[in-house]
Amino acid sequence: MSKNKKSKARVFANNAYAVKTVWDISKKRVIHTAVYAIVGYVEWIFMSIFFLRYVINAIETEAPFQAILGFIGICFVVFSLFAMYESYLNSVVIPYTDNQIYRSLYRKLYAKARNVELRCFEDADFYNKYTTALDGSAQKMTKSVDFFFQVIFGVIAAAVAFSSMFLIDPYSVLFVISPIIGNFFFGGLMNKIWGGRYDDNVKNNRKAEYVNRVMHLAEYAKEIRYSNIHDLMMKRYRESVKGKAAVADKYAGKAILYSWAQNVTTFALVFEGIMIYAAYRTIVSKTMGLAELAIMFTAMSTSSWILIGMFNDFMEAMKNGQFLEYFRTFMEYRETIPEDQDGIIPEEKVQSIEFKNVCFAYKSNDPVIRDLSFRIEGDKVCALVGHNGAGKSTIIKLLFRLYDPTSGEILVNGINIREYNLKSYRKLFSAAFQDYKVMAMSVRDNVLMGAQFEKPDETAERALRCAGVWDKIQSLPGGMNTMMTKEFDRDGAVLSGGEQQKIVVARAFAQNASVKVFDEPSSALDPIAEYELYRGIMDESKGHITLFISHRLSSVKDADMVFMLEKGTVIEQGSHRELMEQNGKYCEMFTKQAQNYLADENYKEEARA
Amino acid sequence: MKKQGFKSVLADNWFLFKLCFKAAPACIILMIIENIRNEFVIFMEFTFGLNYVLECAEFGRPFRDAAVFLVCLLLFVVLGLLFNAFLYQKIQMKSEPKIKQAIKEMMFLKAKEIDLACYDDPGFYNDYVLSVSEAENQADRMLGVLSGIFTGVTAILLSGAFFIGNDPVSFCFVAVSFIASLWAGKVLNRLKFDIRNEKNPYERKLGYVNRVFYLNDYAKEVRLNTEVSDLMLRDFDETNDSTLAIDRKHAGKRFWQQFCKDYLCNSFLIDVVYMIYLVYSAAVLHRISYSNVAVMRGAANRMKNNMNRFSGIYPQMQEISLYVEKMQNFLNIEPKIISREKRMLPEKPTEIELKNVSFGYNDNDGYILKNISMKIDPYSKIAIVGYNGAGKTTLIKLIMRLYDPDEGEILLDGVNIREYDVEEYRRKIGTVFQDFKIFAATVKENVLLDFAEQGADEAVRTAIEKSGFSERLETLSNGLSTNLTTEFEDDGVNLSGGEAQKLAVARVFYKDANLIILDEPSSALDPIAEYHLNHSMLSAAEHKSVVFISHRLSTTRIADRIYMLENGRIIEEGSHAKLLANGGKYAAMWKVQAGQYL
Repeated sequence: MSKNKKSKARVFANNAYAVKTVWDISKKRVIHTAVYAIVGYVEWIFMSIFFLRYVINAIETEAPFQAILGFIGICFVVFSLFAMYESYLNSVVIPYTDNQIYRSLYRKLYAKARNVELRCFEDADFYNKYTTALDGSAQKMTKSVDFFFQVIFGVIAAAVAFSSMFLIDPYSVLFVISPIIGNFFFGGLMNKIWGGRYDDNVKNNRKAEYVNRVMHLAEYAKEIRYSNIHDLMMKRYRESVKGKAAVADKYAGKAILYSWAQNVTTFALVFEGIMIYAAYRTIVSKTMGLAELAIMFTAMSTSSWILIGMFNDFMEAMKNGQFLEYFRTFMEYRETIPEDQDGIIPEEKVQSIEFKNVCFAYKSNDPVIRDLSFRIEGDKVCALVGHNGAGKSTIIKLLFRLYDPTSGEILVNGINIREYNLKSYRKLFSAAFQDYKVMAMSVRDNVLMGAQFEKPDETAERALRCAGVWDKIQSLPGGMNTMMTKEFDRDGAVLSGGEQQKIVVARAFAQNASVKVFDEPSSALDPIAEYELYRGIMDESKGHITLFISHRLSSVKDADMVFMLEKGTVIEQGSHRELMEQNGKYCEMFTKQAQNYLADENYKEEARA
Repeated sequence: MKKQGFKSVLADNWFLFKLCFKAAPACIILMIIENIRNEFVIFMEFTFGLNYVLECAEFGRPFRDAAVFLVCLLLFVVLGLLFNAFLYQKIQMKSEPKIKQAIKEMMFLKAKEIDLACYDDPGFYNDYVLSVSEAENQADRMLGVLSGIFTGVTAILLSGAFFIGNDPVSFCFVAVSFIASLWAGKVLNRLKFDIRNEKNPYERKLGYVNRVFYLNDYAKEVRLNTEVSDLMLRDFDETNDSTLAIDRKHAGKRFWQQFCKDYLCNSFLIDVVYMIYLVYSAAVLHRISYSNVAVMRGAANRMKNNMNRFSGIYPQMQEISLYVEKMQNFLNIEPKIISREKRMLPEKPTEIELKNVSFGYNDNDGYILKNISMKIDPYSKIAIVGYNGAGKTTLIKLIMRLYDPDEGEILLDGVNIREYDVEEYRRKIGTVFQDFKIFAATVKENVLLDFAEQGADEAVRTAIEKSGFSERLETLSNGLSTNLTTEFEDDGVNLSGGEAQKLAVARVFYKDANLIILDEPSSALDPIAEYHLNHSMLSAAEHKSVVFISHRLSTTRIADRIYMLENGRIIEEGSHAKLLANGGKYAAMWKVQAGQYL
């Protein structure tokens, strides 16, 4: 229960946070929302209670028709002004401020997204919360503001409606206790049941969604045709349906009772109750006038509906609170590697890179890098080789300071990289990542990536040539101006995986960086293209440090320095020749690969045996 | 947008209704009764009841009349609400999943049946994905439409009768207000639709910027190339300026239309015009009692709201109709890959021959494969090599009969494969796809790819042993019953890429196929793991025919026969030694790869 109370307090705090956030972006929007809520309630209460009371009183007291007409005329003027205001709000204020809020809010989110460390993206839990925060956050934020004022002024409106009943008959207000109990007590119980059902169905829903995914994603289509997995999936799906029925049964008894009680107290008792009471007072004790009886009834139903509306707003606000919670968690998250971290501006030329006893783990008990030490000095071509999972890509991420080591330190030019201004530090590097991504921009922008060059066209062209994709780009109708992907441009170019990878590799060639990194740059290339790419990398290796990762040991032969990794640490290092002479693991791996290519007929026999 | 005829909208809705009704008839009938009951109660309370009580007071009838009426009403309402709770909290809770199940299972079954080619057509695919993923929403919408119809009809009939009984002229005011607001709503909706359409390209752009900032895929690039996010933000600002300009452009028009719809057609007509009429009738003509004024005004408002709601049903039905059309398009697809003769397959591996086979995925792109002829001798090991896009994967898809060739034929044991029973034919082929999947099921089910029946344990174990997965199996606490993936079992086991591949290979061994097809089985593996996999694959496949694709010529050299593909044609064929001696493209490719190791 105390946890529940706490969370309720948090919901209020979160909604207040939403109001504050919107207030900082657009005071106008907040003020208008408040005024809108007031206008709405005033209109509602006035029309359903006061307007009617006046008219009926006037008829009862036989006021002149012109007087009543005059009253209706005044109301017409006032409420048409109200309606104009509402229309103005809906067609001018809301669209304009929506735009402003969207812009400002997403800019904040993007800035934050850019500033948090990469781990946040790779941690599934954090990432899910973040995507929830991003999804429709502008609408949810403004909705929170709506709820906030609806609830606040709803309370006042309900009070006004009650007091108008009180003025007619003090005891009638007692009847309002019934819907209050109905909404807030039984409604609360019902809400718990909904929550319980939801929790119990999580597993069933996950099952159904999974089956859904398997049945409609193209990637499963072949497997479905080549096995009976369809039947298995149907079985899973039916299990989920049965599971849902079981959940429904589990809660049915209580749910029927509470929902019945909620409806009876919210609607039946108060409506019929007040009617009997008021009819008694009018007919039997004759202490209430006919007009009052009619007003009593509308006032009662108005206040009941205000209560119901408030209760619904409140529930919506609770739901929205969860989103706000995620939004806040994300915005208030303290980066461990803030991207805008200030520090020493590094020299433009990287003389040396050193890893000193570096350890690192993505998850606390699963070290990926263990006590890793190595040093690179001068403009060399270095290769990182090793089995899957040896930690090659992780080393690159650590070097770029996308992650910080758990212990040990990384020095560039003799200074711990944590001391550097992060943005300037990153400028020392350019990279072609394994999971290449081409963006929906022109080919030129895809290569230059927004960096400033004296001769942008020539730089891009040279890079594309080095990557071996220039001929292809030239053959496109717009040359380097061709948009990539069909995302925005019907005539956008859709290139093959290999060509896309080459464009991404060209990025690394184009940037004027002191260290160039290629992480398996040839995974989507065929053998000849691969061979040519590595030749390009070698040719372009003057004047900077080149670091590349490759499975294929043949491409490593020409590197100045080879680091052989196993289980997150360097087990052998030296030039290809030196390593072959050492006759260690590298030699073994190289021989095994080479053996496949050598004219060793035993291999086939062995395989058959 | 396509214009939908009224008849077809009705027919489509009837189709979906029948589906829903068949799945849960009791629930739907009870729902209809509840809708009518609820509307009846509202009428009894707010219109008839109020009027009755006021008249009792005005005409001095005894209190007992009013009291008896109200107590009876209360009892009826209280019992009715019990029915309501029983229906919504139990019956509907249980029936809704069943209704959705009925729709989905139908779709799933069809999804299994249709040709793989359907997935290649993005238009079809999007429609299909939409019709599967939207099934639940549409079922909900159908139930909403049903309750809207019965609620609306009941309310309009009851209040209509009340007006006609009391003051038929009042009915005109309601009708005018209803028609006017319907018209104004239509005009306003068209404007909103135009605005949305105009904004659409910009919204897509915003969506893209969004993706770049929040997808993990781009996170590294954004961090390393800080300037690229400035590019994105520039686009973001420009796009927002454009959407704002669109809103500004339409603001004036929108203001008046909104005002017209919200006020002039609604409150103005009821609260001003109709009110004046009522007051005039009561105060000047004394035609109606003043308690009647309150009742009639309330009734008019309620009736108009009900009419408005009722008019909102048809657009809903149009939505349903659009959906049902997509669904029916999907359900009406006739698979082209069917069993012609349902011939049984030979027990043992036999010769497979491709004769002048040509194939293209669609007419625009031309042929992917041109005039391919090849032979797969029983028990032989065949390798297919070639550059990216040469047509290797397409070729094996034809052999697997996931597609039928456009020209030429594929013969198994001298008989066109179209003559065999498709399911039987596929059952005799074991395969590990390039993008194989581990399913969220037990280890055993993942090998069987079927229900885990009793007794298959031994065969599964043998298959697992052959594929080299048994070591890992030992470490699993529940053995064959261990749940894989954390999809819906939190204690499920996630396998590494290599382990997963081994398990996938076990499927092939379990299947006891005559032909094994492997598409780049080792692409994700490092050289040594690849070596081991090939090794065990070949030794286990001794009594089967094998076709495999690989980029790495070190793997393909062990084949009995190698086919080199270029631009959809076989340009060289023969054993590794023969192809090397020929000095053609294969030899050149080999030199590039192997040369570096020498």
